[in-house]
Amino acid sequence: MDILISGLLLGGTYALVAMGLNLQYGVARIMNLANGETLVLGALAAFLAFTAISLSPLVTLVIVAPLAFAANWLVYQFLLRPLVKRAKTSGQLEVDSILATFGMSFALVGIMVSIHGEYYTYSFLARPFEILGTTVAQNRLVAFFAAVIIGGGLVAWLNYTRTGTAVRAVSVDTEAARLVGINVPRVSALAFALGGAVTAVGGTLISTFITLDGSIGVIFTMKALIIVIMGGVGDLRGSIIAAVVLGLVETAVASLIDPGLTLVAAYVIFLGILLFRPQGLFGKRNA
Amino acid sequence: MLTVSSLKAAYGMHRALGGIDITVGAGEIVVILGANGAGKSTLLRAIAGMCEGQTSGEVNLDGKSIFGMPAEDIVEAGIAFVPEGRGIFGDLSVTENLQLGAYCRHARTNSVANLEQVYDLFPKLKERGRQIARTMSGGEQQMVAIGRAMMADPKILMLDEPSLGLSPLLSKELFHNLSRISATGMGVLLVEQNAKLSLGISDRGYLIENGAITGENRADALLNDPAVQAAYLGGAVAPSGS
Repeated sequence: MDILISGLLLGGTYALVAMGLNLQYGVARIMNLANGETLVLGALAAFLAFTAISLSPLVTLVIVAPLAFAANWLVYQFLLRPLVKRAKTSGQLEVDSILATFGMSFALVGIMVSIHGEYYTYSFLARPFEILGTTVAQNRLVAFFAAVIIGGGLVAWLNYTRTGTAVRAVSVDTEAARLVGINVPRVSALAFALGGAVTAVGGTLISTFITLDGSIGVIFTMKALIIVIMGGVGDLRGSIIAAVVLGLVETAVASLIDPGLTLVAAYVIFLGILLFRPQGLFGKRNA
Repeated sequence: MLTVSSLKAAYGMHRALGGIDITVGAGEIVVILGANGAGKSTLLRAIAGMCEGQTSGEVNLDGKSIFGMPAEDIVEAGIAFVPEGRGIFGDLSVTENLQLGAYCRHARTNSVANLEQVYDLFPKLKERGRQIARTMSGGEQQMVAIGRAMMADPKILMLDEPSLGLSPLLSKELFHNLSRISATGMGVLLVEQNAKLSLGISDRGYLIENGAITGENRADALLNDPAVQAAYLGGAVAPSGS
């Protein structure tokens, strides 16, 4: 029961981060390897605001979201858009964007380490809370509910608004999107920026219960990648389920075997999916 | 009224179109006949702003130049395009496909009336609203594609080989529906292999060969033209015209 609840709470936050990467990869078709660094930037903002003026991370995230949106929009327009224009095939864009964002991730790590080279330790709502006979930290619960609200809002926006539907349309088929008059470059930039904002907010939330540091981003990039590929690219429902699965498995392995093996466990699931269901849990594209 | 003059297109060194002149009036159905590789698809893609090659020339819609605009602005100007292979959103539902059809700004005001019109023409789309487009039959997907194009409230509807992959019966139904659509005042420009059925509903036709227009006439005249019969109608049209 402990494992179930802790795993679910962790999975909820992972799901939000994976949604961010899914928007960037599934819609804008940019495999963003600096995704984890975006997340850590959100965490760093929360840490700095909390230690400097004891600002609640829940307030910080309201500031982080528009800043991350604007920054990611600029990155897309000035760094990635030229790559998109130049690429003749989707494969070429994938290689170019991986290289460009991989480089960007190093730059961001350097910047973050120079701002604060230590662990981002701070204590927010680190009080026990009893739920269904299990004791969890309040901050985990708050982070989970914040993630559910933001993620739920995002899903509703994608499904029930005109712009949200256009975002999904670009994810399904860029050529068909042009046929109905959707400005694909603009929607791609929007999706990339939104994905970055969601990821950074996820980082802010994660920092309330996991102690991060400037160079830990790559681990979160890997986790988000595992979730997105496990759930199926462009499939939000799949990512949510995959995120919960990852949260549960990590928690189970950490408490039953050894906390050091969580990444190994994540990687084993990932390999299993790649070998037996490369299209993801619900993937249907076989072409 | 769509006016295309001296439209050229090339893919690298390969010349695909060498100066095409055609017109399509409001409420008119115009068919372009030609063999595979004659440049039919390139012509439609160039008008729609979706040709990957280098293009030059003039394309005017109701006197306004639309040549060189990005595809989304051409949709906004009033040209809807159903490409070969239909170009629908396979992973979205029928209703979502139709809603997205009315994405461009000018189509939003009339979207309710246009949806009524689409459902009137294709009642099946209303029944199957929640079905994922990819899981439908070829004929039904073609309905989704045409219905979605109509939702864009276009002045000109362009279709690339709409009867491809459809049974003779479904093709007949499709062409009948196209003539109903043009009766609403929309101009229809289509490219077809099925010369007999398409000429049967068209007002005018053009013949295209090696990227150049080699003939133009009223559709009934083309149907009875021995050269056209030999080239596009298998040389054996029943003289009774049945």
